[in-house]
Amino acid sequence: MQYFEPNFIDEALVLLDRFAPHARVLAGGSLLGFGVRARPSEATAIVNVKRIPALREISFDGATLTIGALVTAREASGHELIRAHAPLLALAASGLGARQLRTVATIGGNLCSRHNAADISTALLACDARCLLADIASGPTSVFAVDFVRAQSDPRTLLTAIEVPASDAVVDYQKMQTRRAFEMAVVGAAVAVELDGGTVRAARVALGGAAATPVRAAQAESWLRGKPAGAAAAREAARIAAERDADPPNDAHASAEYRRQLAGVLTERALHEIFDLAGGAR
Amino acid sequence: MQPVTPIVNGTPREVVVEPMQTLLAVLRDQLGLTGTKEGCGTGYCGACTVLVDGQPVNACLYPAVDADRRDVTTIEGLAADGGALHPVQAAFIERFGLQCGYCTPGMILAAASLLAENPQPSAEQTRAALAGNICRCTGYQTIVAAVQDAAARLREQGRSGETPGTRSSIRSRA
Repeated sequence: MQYFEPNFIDEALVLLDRFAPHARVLAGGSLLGFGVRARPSEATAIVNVKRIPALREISFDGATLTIGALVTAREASGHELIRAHAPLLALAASGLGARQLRTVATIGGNLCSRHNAADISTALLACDARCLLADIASGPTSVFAVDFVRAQSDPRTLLTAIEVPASDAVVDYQKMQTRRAFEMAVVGAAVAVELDGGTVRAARVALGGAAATPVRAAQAESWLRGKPAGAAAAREAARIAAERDADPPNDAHASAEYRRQLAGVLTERALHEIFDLAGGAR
Repeated sequence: MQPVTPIVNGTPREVVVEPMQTLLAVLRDQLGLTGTKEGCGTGYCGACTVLVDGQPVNACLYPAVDADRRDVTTIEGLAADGGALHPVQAAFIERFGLQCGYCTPGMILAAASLLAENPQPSAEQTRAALAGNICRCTGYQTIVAAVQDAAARLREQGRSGETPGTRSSIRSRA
């Protein structure tokens, strides 16, 4: 197994291309280590990208927040720009695992894990985030996070940053776990609602653990548009999210039935919280 | 194999590691610092908690290559040079914040890093900050009491907000 510490993105891309599909990108390492130590022969090269400063940058240009893929959950939960312009991401990051994990786990690693209940991925879906990608053949491209998490990983591609568009949405993230600090969410609901006075202008609802990947609850979102903020709207949107948008798996962690119920309960709680917050602000 | 030089408890230590070798393996097997315990080995229990640049990490997950030129504080490095216990260590002893002792090194380091950020945590904040450390003797009440006691000791000594590992890093680079 060879080991590399590239200093530039292009250098990393050359390495990924040269060793594909057996190169592994090392970010925080909290997930990668298991796989590599369990099946060392499958990885011929470790590409540690932590010496690439561009992957850590956080900037806001007035319309878009750009967050480097190596930004950690700890940084995301506390950074001023992220708290101001992607509060949903800060909220989800602050509840990811325990402090020990938040110190090392990266936003990019969370997305690349493609875990169906990954907190940060679910939150980014509800932010309408885009993933900036690079590979040596085609240069920089971008895809919506919702498409990134359901696409197969491309061994030649490096996730370099995440773009979150500015929004005046009121947000909340609700999740259910079997234990607070150690487990991935069974189900998580990330919700962002833009309001005109007491009326929903637009809503973005993302569900983790409610399908094979984190997904957007598109039917609940379109139903919410134009509805008056309140308990009735929260209840009906949650019902639609659970019954029509969720397509939950049955697995060792939870039954499909339980996940579907949680998708509804957590969506309703998040909407309640948002409507309460917005009502208090008016 | 990769040469790396973590600054362990204030002293640069040159070691050669495999690319995905863990910091835990380096500390215990190469440097003989067996105060850091392996519990689950999968990042769930927190027994292996050490501080890297003052922040808690699970040494069983942390890639040793990433500790290069960074301050690593283990339980062996928490006491002062003359051997006086760190206030968190002293409080754990006096308040019986341990039973079998296996989780204790990780628990103490997690507590010390909490107190560096928050000199006066509530019981609830203390529990939340230690949520990544399991005690299978379930001595949590006395552990929380010990951390609160340690917070008071640090405030009395005027050492509130002191990040463990900070002093050692200054010493090692001087």
